Amino acid sequence: MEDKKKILLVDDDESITRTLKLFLDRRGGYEVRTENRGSQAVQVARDFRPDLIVLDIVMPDADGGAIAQDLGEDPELKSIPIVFLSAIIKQDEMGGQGMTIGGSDHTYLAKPVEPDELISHIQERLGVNAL
Amino acid sequence: MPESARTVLENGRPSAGPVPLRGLLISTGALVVALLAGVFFTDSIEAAQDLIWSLAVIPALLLAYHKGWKRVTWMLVVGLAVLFSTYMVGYTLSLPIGELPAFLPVIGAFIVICLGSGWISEANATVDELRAKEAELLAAYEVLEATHEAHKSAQLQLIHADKLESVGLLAAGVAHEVKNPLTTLLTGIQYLREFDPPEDDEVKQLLGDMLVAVTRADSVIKALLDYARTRELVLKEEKVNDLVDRTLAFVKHECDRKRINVTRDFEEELPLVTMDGFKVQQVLVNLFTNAIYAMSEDGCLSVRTICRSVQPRVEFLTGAPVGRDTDEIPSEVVVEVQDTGSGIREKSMTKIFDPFFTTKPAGQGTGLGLAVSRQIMEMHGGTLEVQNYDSGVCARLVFKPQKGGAGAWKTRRRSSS
Repeated sequence: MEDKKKILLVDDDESITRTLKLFLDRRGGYEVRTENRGSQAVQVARDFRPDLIVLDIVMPDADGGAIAQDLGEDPELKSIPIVFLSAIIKQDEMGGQGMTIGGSDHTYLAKPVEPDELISHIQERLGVNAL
Repeated sequence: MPESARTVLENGRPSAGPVPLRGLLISTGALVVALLAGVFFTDSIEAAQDLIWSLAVIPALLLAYHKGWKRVTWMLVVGLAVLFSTYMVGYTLSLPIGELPAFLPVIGAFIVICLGSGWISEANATVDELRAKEAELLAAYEVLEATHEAHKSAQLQLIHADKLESVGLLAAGVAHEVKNPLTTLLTGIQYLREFDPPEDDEVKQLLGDMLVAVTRADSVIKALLDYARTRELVLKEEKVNDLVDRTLAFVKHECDRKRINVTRDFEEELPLVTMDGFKVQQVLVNLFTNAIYAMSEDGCLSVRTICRSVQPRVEFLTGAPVGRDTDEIPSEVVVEVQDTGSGIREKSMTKIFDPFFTTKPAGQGTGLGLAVSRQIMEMHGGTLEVQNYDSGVCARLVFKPQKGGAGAWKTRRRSSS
């Protein structure tokens, strides 16, 4: 039996991580771990070794961009694709389908994100990553 | 005593020698004639009085001569001579003065001829100087007026910028605080619909309504972000007619649903306009949806594109174009969107561009559409005007000619078609 892909959800809003976890579990068949403290995200990633991280950008104790940078500096974590979620951008500003910026291989999605759309991006990124 | 004097005193009559009787008579006659002529020509009462007094002197003179009073006679002769001379001098002088009015035109003409040429040239110089001063004043007035308008515009922009800054600060906070719970709601609703679908139709409807509510709330937040966003424009040259057509396609379904007739009147030879097509489409969608909302069924949505030449600014005195090549004809491109709705109430007209002002019922409009649209047009250096007309509302987008920026500034002649 193929191992479930592991996804780390980092968002300071517990209701978001809880509902998204439910959806990703049931719909995507992923193994999902959630973390509501941005400052713990890198450590949890080291422990959990996710295949993909869904990361909020604006959090009270840590900035999503800074977390991504820390992850990128860790040789064991830098290849993990990140899907950013942001409440201060609009989807049309992300080119509709998400985009990569600054050479970083990350996807940006605007909240509120359609769960189907999120899963679609996750699958795409995991597929790209598997190649 | 001389012999002659003694003879006079003794005989009581003068001798023939010392008093020239003939001269006396001639002088007296001449005096009388002069006085009569004076009375005749001057028609003067004073002259008549002089005559009477003079005539009164003559008998005295004759009496003195007859009595041989030589000294008295000489005195009277001399007096008459002086009187005559004075009168003649006075008459000689008064006659030209009396006739002076008749000579005034001649005198005037003389004066004009003598002095006129100098005066005319001097007057011409003064008129030219006054005209130049008038032109300077008019030019200064125009500058003053333009400055005043610019000042007013700057004030409005400051007020607008202040509003924008406030809304911008608000928007970022609101967006974050609202979008997170919306994410939870959206995910939760979708989860329930997919993994725990209710059998009760009313509950299904309830979930559907919740989904619509979340979508609507999200659209408000998006509009708020649009308004607050100071993102730079992504400029490129666009064919305005194509852009309008593409945007009309977005609202075709809604037009069909309300049986709204869409008429297009596009000018064929439009210049390319440098713009952020995505944002201008956003403006057009907003205007189209406003128009469709304002109309009942069987209304008419009219869209017109126009290219109109802009009156070039010219030098006041010379009429020469200012600051550009005369071959270039600046053209502004206008897009007009008209509906056949009920129009905008006069008291609402001043508020339609205010953020959060809407005439739509609660939940059906964010009140940010026109505010965002105007901001987008201003970012393009253009304008958005909205006004009532005979049977509805006309919204007009104007892309002004602006060299080196967004807008139309093309070297072209306006099509005559």
